[in-house]
Amino acid sequence: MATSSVAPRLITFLLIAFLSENVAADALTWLMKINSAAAEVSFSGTFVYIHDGEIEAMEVVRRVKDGMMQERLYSLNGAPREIIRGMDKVWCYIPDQNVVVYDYRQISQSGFPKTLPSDFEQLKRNYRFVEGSDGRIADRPVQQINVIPNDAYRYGYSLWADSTTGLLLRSDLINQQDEILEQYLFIDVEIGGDITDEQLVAVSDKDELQLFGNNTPITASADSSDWLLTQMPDGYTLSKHIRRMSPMDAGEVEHLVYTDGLSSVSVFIKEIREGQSEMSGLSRMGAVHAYRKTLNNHRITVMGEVPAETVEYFARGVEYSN
Amino acid sequence: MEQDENDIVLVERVQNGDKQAFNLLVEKYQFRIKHLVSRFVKDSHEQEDIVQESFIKAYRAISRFRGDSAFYTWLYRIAVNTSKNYLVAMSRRPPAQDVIADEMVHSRGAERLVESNSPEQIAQNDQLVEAIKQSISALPEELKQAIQLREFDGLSYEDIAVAMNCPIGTVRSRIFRAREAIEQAIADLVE
Amino acid sequence: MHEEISQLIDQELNPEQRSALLERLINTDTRNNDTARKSWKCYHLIGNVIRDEVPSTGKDLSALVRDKLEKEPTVLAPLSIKKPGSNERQNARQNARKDVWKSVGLFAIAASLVVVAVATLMPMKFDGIAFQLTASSKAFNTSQAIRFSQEFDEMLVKHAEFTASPGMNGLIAYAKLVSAEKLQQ
Repeated sequence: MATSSVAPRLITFLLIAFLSENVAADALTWLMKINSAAAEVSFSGTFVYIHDGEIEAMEVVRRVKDGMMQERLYSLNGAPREIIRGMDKVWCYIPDQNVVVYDYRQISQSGFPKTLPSDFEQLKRNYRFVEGSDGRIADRPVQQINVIPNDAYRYGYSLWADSTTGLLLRSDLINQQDEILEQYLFIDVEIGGDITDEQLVAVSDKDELQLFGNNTPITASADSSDWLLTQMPDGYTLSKHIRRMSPMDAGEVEHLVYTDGLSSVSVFIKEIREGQSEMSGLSRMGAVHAYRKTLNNHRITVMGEVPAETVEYFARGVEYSN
Repeated sequence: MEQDENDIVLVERVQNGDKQAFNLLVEKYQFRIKHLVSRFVKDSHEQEDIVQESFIKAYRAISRFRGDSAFYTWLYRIAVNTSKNYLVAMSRRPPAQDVIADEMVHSRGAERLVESNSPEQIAQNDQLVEAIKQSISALPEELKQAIQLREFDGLSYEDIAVAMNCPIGTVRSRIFRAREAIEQAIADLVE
Repeated sequence: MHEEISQLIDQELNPEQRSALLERLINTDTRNNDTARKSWKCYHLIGNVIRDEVPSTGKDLSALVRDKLEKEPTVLAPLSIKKPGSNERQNARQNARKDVWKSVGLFAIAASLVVVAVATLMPMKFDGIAFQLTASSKAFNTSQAIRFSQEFDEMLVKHAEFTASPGMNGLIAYAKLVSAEKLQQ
């Protein structure tokens, strides 16, 4: 009696598991395609960034050549500002404030975090991937991929990738209430082709602007710490641990970055100095949540584009270990 | 509606993470908002819930306020929407006059036009408001005139000085003395 | 003091006096029965009564709202929204411009670009600096909120640098930086 009813259920279960595994595999294939496109495809285009009832339009040119990425980003509304990501430095032109500033690229020397298959394994533990419908963005056929979080400690994404190249043409960040927190959408894009050097040069006249810059990389990775993270939501792992000086007051800041493969959470630990703000608790800026607390005369700030529960969870786990 | 400079300063503080600054805005606008809500919902406890909800909603959305309108106008819209949503949730039809109310927001004092003081409501008028009314009418004539020119007619000290034919310093002191006298008269009613 | 509150409500104070007094009012603990804060509330209520803007019952709800607010996450306006809200602020910025450059220079010497980029890309940064500079010369406030906001911005940029949104890879971090200042004039 018992066995006869379990068996069909088991079969149904296996069938569903097989089918969803297949669906997930397709969506995952798309995700890998998106990822490699970001590292390999040259393009130029215009996208809009929608957040907090604001809409910004940007022009972007990206060239990937001999494994190196160069990029120019230019704001089309408001004050004209541009950012050039060169081989090893980032330049920010702010003509309305009469300055240009530069620094070493910190995101990674090659421009892209290398995404390994193990990262996808990590992703699969934290998210479900569902292939959506096909559509059209910036006059190109696209494929939608929905990234659905497995728990309440991360947001979801809806991604639309160019059907041919995998280049991401739209990305929505979605909370648990299914509300879109922020959105990127290309309205015009030309993929491939030769990107000339001129296209990657700032239109702002450097000679007219005051130059400020940093000539030495300032971040050093930290191998030891007096701080301990005793708890964090499942699925997050430490990806970076750095120490640097804060230019605000020349105090040292410890910065730990945790990621679940898609979402990232930063933990900042900084000694409290005279006259500094003592704000604590939860705060929010657009899609970013932050949680602060004070411990052993240090201020702990946890932030990320994650739900409030996540930053709080992390913050509660920070302890002084000495 | 012109921008209230105090509101601008307070809203900027709130947008920079100063929650306490928002409380000043609540204290300033709560009665006006409740008055507005009372045109949609008659029950006083329900009104109180809606007023509180409206302010919390306004706080959550404060980063979206960009000063394109006066802060009160923005708050007004939130309170109207909160009231309407409440009525929908209660499956009651919003009163037809809310359309008028929407149109009326920009004219000063216009809310009076659509006020519907039922006899019961007037009877309900609580002691505090009554006490304020009484102490206003008990004010010496020149103090009463000064504060009414300011609060009812919205004149600046300079204009009041012209209207009352006295120095600006006198206007300032008359208005303050009027407020001080009223505050003292109602001191027992305020906890 | 109370006469000043009366003037404040009537918008008859100059910008410096206004900021200083609002700062005082914000920082008074209402639970301490502070008379200044009581007057702020009472004077507005008097105006409501004169204009007939009072509900049928005048129950004070501010304490209830304050308690609810305590439980809310602190909201911060995104960098691109923060802007000088009034002419006086803009004038203050302009007057402080020269000194601001000194500050920006110091920043740059001390520091990483990104923070300087924030200091310059983000209008709020200038506001913050202007605030601090005017604070020493005039009765302008240096609120903890502003400093908190600056520090928050700095951390936000640092966080964004190491955050790779899917596929967009850092582009977005910088897009946030380049986000235009709205309502320049």
